[in-house]
Amino acid sequence: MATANFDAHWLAEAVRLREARDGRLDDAALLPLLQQAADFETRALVRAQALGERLGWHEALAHWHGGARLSALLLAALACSSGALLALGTLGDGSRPVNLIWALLGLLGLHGASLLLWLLAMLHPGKEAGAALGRLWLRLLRRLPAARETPELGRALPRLLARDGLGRWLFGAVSHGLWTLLLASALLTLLALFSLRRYGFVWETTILSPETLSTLLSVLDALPRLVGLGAPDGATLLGPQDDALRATWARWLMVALLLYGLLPRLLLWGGCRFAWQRAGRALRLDMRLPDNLLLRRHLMPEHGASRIADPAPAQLGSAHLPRPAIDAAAGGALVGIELGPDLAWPPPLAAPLRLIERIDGRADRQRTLERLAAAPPRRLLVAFDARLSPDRGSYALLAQLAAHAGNTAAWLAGDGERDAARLRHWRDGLAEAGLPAEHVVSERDAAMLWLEHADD
Amino acid sequence: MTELPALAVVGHTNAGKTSLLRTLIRDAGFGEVSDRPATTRHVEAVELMAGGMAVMKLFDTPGLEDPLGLADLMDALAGDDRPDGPELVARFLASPEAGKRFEQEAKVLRQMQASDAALYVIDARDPVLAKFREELAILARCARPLLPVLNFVAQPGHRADEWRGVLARLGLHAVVAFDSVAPELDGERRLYAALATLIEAHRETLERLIEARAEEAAERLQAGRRAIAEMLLDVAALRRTLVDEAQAEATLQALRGQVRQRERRCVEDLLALYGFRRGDAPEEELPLLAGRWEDDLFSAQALREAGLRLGTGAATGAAAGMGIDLVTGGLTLGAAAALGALAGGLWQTVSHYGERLGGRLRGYRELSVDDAILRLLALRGQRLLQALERRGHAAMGRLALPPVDESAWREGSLPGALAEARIRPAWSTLSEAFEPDEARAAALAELSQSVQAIERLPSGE
Repeated sequence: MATANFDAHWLAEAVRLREARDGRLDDAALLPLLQQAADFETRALVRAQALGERLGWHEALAHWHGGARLSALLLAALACSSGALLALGTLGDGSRPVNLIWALLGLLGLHGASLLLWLLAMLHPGKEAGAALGRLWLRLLRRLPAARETPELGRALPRLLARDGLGRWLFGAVSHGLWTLLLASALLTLLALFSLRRYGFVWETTILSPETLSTLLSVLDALPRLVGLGAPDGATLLGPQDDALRATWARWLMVALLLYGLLPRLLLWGGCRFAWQRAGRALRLDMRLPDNLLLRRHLMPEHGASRIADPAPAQLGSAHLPRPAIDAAAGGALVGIELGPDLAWPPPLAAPLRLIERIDGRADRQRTLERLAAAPPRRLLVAFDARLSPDRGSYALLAQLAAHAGNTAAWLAGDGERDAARLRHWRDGLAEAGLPAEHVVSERDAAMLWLEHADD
Repeated sequence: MTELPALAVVGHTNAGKTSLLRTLIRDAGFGEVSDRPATTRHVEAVELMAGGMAVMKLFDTPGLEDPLGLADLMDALAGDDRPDGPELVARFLASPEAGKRFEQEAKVLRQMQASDAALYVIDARDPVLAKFREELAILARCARPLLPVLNFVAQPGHRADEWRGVLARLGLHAVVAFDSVAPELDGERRLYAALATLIEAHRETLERLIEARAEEAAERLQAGRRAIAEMLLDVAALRRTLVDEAQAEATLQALRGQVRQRERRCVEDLLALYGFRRGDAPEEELPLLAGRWEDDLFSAQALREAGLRLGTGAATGAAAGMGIDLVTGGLTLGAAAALGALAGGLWQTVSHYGERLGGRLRGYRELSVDDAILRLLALRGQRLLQALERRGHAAMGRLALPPVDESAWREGSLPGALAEARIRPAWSTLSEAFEPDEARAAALAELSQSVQAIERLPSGE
């Protein structure tokens, strides 16, 4: 019924439907195996095979195939018997002469109409294609017990067939195949009947003129004439016939059935079957479905496993505040470290200070340290920009400055709105560096107050 | 091409190196991110893949914390003989401090020497302080191409322009702005394109990577449009037969519930497509969505906000969204549909319309969803898709992108596919009689084209 590729995609689609309903299936055990395949489609199909096996869908698939064959056989039998009955019904039992044109229409009428509809539907891509018999076959299939067991397979099939015209080729093939059987069996029945009974052929009309007959005949004779088996003169239908003439007409009827009925259907069946197989081989996963994109992310990760190339040390070195300088003279000093340009500097002071410095870089640092060393203050307030991230360099600088002061405090300036967490990290880091918590302030007024008592 | 390009990600502590890596490798579980300084203390390597193949090795490094101190040390080591950059770095790495006080800095410099290039990540909110300049000077000594990456540019109050000016004065002209939390959609492309010019030897690999990412982005957009189109199709084709007038209210509520649920499912699909995990609140990263997120689909407010009006025959308020479609026996078939119905199996057609015909003969009414709700769903879906595609832009305010032309959905006639869906209840996944066929697939493809999203971004800054 289908190529192996079609089955593989059928399973993949069924897995997708199941995962869309129930969430991703557990495929952790499969992933290492899948890594061997290079591209996503292969991985997805292999995964679907494995999952399908686990869910018991392979047996179900076999049942589907079996059911398909069975139902096709049933329909074929039906087609054959219909063909025979059609021929029988058209010719009658021989007691009355056969109205030739009527017989031809009877044999080919329904076939012609349905062929026309199918052609029209083919020309309208995307609309529901014809091939009613083919769809009938699908409906039969879905009533089989196999379909009930595994609803996902049943739901996946029409979705798959709706893609790339797969459905129309499959249904077309089935439809044309059944018609071929029907017409072939009609032809064989005609042959049998003509061999074993005696039929006469006439032309009867109530309102048409004799010229119509010849026109009709010449139109219908187009194909048989091409193969050299043209019709005898139409006038012979109106009078008595001898055996040779009857045989000729009978032969013409069968040739017409062959050329207008069986042959086109046979060719179309072959064409549809070929197109079906080719489309089946060319089937690919539909990457416009979000589910498939997400599956690809799952199966083809964007990165490999990470590894530590250079492990972390057991501990990090950190700066520690030295003991305060003993020979500190009275007075306060204010040093700002790496303050943002938008911070108001210097802050309003109640009393003038001996030293107000701003450090941004090594030259500033050098100058400040020299000045501090020359005249160590009793109280040193170091202002940090609390919006910056604290780092070891800041603490190291603090330690260097504190070595030249009696008492050191830190002021975390900046609005602190950006990150309350960052303020906390500053406090933690300063505590670890040895600065007592009461010497860390974040409000300007508290900082200035501390400085004011520098002369005590 | 034997070896993969190796890229070190370096920068001051807390600049967002690990976050950047997480964004590039699309894995929120890599490394550890916190606001504490010195979160990353090791060098961690990870391979970036595209199309299942490894294309680049990325190295996460510890943050630099004491550039001033290190600069002092290096000056001392340089002494009088003025060694060049790499020589000075070698002396430093051989010194005892490289194992103790500057152990973390030593890791970074060692990794830089082992890589083809480095990304220097900058917190663009910080002012350009002297210590950052010292860092750049130290890193420059490793003689590796350096690409500065400005992070946090989606935040207000960033100083990207100031940084660009300073970096240019230092000779670093290729600078990429890339907010690792809410990056612009072509931010990655610009990053890799800049790298491609810096690492000439690996240019092809990087260009391949850019192509792969661009393909992924295009597929993702297609899938997003299709998801919205399918939602619209499902809702348009949904019908419920009102058997008992007394049940009208209950049936109405049930119908609305189904539609809401379907929209929710579409939204979840879209978010998953764009890398949001379940439970992530997307509002912060999608400023275009602000305030429109929670409006109930069926509220008069939602319709008003979208500039829509209800169709005729439906009152406001409670009746919003209930379009009572008096079945005219399916006689609203258009010519093309009629042909399709005939050719497509008399069986199916008869059974399908027979039911509805029978229903009508018995005096049943059918509930379906009003056009206005369909339009609203389309507009909301498209806005979400736009917001996901434009993530990062609104906050940055750099590009004035034209808004999507919504007038087609707001005032114009609905696409043909939706009109056809209305007479095909079998097209709705929400109904029990769901039967996918070729016609539905074709209608879906056609409808996807009508769903708009923005065009790809213009290249360049």
